[in-house]
Amino acid sequence: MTINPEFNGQELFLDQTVTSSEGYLIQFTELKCFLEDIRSYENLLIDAGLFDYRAKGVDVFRTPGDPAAFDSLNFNLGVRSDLNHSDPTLFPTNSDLNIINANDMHWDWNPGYIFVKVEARVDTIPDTIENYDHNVVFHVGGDVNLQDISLNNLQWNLIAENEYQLDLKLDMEKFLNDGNQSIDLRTEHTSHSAPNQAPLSLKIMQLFKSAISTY
Amino acid sequence: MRLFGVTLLILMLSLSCRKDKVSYVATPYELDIPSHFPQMIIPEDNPMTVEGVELGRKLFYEELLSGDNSMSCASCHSPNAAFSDPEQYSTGIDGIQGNRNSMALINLGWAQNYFWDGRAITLEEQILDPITNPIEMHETWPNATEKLSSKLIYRNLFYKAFGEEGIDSIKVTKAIAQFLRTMISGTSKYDVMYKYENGISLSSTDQQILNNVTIDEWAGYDLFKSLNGADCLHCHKGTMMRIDGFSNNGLDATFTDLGRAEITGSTFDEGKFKIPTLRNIAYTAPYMHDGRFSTLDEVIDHYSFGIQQSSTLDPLIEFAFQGGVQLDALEKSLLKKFLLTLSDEGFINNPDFSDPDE
Repeated sequence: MTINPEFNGQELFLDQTVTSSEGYLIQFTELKCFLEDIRSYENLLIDAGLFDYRAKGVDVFRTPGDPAAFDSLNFNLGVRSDLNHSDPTLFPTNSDLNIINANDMHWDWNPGYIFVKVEARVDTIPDTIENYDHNVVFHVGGDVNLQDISLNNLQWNLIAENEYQLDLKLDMEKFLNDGNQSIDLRTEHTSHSAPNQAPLSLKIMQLFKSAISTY
Repeated sequence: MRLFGVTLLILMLSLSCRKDKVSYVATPYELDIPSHFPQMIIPEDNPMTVEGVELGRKLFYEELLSGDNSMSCASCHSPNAAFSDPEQYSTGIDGIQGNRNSMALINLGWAQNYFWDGRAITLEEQILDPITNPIEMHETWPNATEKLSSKLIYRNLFYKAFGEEGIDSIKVTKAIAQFLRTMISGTSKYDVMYKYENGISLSSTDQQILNNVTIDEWAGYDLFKSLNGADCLHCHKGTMMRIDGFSNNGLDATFTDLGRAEITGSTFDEGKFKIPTLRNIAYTAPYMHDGRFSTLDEVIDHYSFGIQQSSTLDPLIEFAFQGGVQLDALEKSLLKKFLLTLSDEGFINNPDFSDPDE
């Protein structure tokens, strides 16, 4: 499975400057998220996949499976509660939930894993000078912020002999504004999922979910 | 006829004296991994063996690996300094100093990047570097392995470790890597605090240590983790007391050492360096990639008031706009008390890590 970041219909690269609908200049510096319990009904495809755009590129995971058995997928955006607070050293070393692989996507046993991480530099000052006046740091986790995603009628593309790939889109423009709700990076630029950041944290998760789709 | 008889006799004698070569099979080494640590991934081409670790330990202290036979790995990674260098910059055999402080060798079996700039991604690859580095041990591999090969003891030790004759750079690095993977620090007071707060069962020894954790140390730990306190947890947490990654922690506004950018070539990596573990930090002064801070107090002052703005400053240093987290005197004292709980005497004084020839 791959996740392919886009902005304004174009492939999005980290550290590249893009312009938001408000005219802000944005350089995304980190895009990461945890997908967990990836399955089609009773068929489990994989326990978890970590999307880490800087370290791993668009690849999320590679696993044995029959594409015919996975024409739809359900998974968590984040990590469900019972795993979220368990010992992160005990997952198999090939699982992205193992602390060595999760690395900076884990805070502590409580509150657990960081579900979504978005970091960026933003220039919100409307002039012609590139001056990044804000850092955006969205580190969101916590059981109440867990989201579930369902994808249907999936097209697995044959990319090599016996190797199929599912490409998902991550529309970061939609992450900032999906038509129902939006984030104003001038005033909403930090969340570590602290109690006083609960509304923004939930909105970040909902918008990130909204940004993920099939092609 | 007489000549034929002599020839036959010699042939028979030579055949009777010939023994089948029996390859030595090294003994698997069981790592003593603390219960709250993740499993260590051992490279398939370098399994841990008792003989390999023993050889690696001897090589770690071996001065023959340097150009003038005066310097070993331990010269810049002193056991008394948690296997770091108490000097700001290490001095090579030619009297040349580098521009970075030697990193402490702690729990390297779980690392994924090595050196301050991350230019090696395996432990074996990391070990290759200092021996030929002209400002460090400044030796060629052919010379180094020839010197080792001239010693009977090494011929035997290498044979036992690898089950075949011959010494080369790959075997040297593999053996030292095996030794370094045994250097596990996981028995500090902090480890007991970590286990206690996460509900991991404590041994009777752990329980005694827990009883001696002071209110100030717990308060310092809370401060360490607090987003509105010292805010250390983004980079230093968990059993390793670090994350695997690189950060510009606000030491300079402009850079004389580009750090990670020297490897990646990216301007976005300028001024970023590997995030080190804080384990045994009381022993690993001086601090930072260039050893600019002599004391923990200076380090805490830096994060409190000394953060320098630059384009690659880590965004997780959220109080950079005011120079840092602005801890007061009491908070600094509490934080320091917590940092001292990371000292692991069992690691520092482990006889298995000392020079086998002393």
